[in-house]
Amino acid sequence: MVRDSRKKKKPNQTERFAEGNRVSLNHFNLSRIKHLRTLEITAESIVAAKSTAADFLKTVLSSVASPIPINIVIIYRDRDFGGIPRCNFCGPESSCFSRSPMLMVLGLGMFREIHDVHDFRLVLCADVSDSEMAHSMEVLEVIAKVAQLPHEPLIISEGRTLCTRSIDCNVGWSGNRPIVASAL
Amino acid sequence: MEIIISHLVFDKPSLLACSMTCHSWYIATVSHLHHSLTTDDKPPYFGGPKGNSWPGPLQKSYELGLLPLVKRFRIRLQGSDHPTTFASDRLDKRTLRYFSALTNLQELGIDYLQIPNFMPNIQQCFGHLAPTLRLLALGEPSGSCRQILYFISLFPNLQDLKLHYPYRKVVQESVADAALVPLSIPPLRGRLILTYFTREDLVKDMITLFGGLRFRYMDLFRVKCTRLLLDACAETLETLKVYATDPYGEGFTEEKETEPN
Repeated sequence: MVRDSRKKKKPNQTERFAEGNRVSLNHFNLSRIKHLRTLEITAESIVAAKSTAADFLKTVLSSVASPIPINIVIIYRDRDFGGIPRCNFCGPESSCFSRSPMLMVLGLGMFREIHDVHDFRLVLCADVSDSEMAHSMEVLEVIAKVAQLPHEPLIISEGRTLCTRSIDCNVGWSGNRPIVASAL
Repeated sequence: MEIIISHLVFDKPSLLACSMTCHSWYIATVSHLHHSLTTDDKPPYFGGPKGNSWPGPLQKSYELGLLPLVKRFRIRLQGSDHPTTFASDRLDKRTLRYFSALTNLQELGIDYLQIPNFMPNIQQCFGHLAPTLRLLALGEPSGSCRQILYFISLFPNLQDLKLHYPYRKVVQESVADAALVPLSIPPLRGRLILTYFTREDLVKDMITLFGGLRFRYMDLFRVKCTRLLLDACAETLETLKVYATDPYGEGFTEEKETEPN
């Protein structure tokens, strides 16, 4: 029997995440992507996933092979800022319509620890209708300050989700119900 | 003035007000007002708007000569408990005339498209969209992989593709299907959006028949073949949209992927 004489290397933090999240890595392994510049994630899914959101992002980021910092864009939609109902599937009393700003701050908190896994630039993107634009930008500026992130995030407003009407839903979760995407 | 009015594209009441100001303002607003058209067969009690069922809005726009202005057309059908379908009987001689007037359409979305039902004359119904269509969104289309890819290949300038496919349907390829050769290889270099997607076989056939995948942007939620897609677009992918609630990111085990009775 031949014994491996090489000394077993202690896994670094990235490898530890990879080891503990094999299933996620099996699907979201970005090691072969050569030109990945941006990772987008919805604010809604971060809030809904609660504590697992950090592990999920760490796992995905840990697989990025390129040392170049990537942009992590958190997309906030109209319904993340409360106000007028904009979902076809839920009634006005649903949690879908009133995202608490405190939940949004807590959602950002996880980005304090993710820098250890891979370097990135955080971008908060308000992908909202024109009537919500000014209000949403103000809210994002406030929560960025309250969240006390080590690096100040970039705050932008941009239409990123493929839809034209504010009632069009992309996927995610509303409370404990999935938001089903329409055909277009 | 066009630039100012273009800032109001999401504000329909303001656009309507502008259009009634004078003729030059009308000309500047009319293309925005009629940019998108949607038919929705959901009954009002299920959240659907009144009077928007097929082919109402299409017929009305045709009669007003507005269809050449339409860039985006969505055909929404009721899902869940009582799914209806988009079969060839919806495009009879009269409605096909309306549909054929969509001469500048760039984005098309159809729920429950019954592709086998349109074969072999599918090109007669959708071929007029070939020069302009850039985005195709299909919600649970039925058909074999070859048939679906044949339909996609009708559009040689297609860049973006969106598919929603929650239940795995085992569709046997017929002998006739094997003879179906894609009419073109669409570039498909834009966005790929897959939600609740179970048809890995469709992705594999797309890679084979279209000579690989070249998407720059992917938006994936609950997609069984995420790894296959990421590997296929390893050279081109620049932006990936993920969801922290994606079950495939939390040790999702294979379940609930056959169509309910």
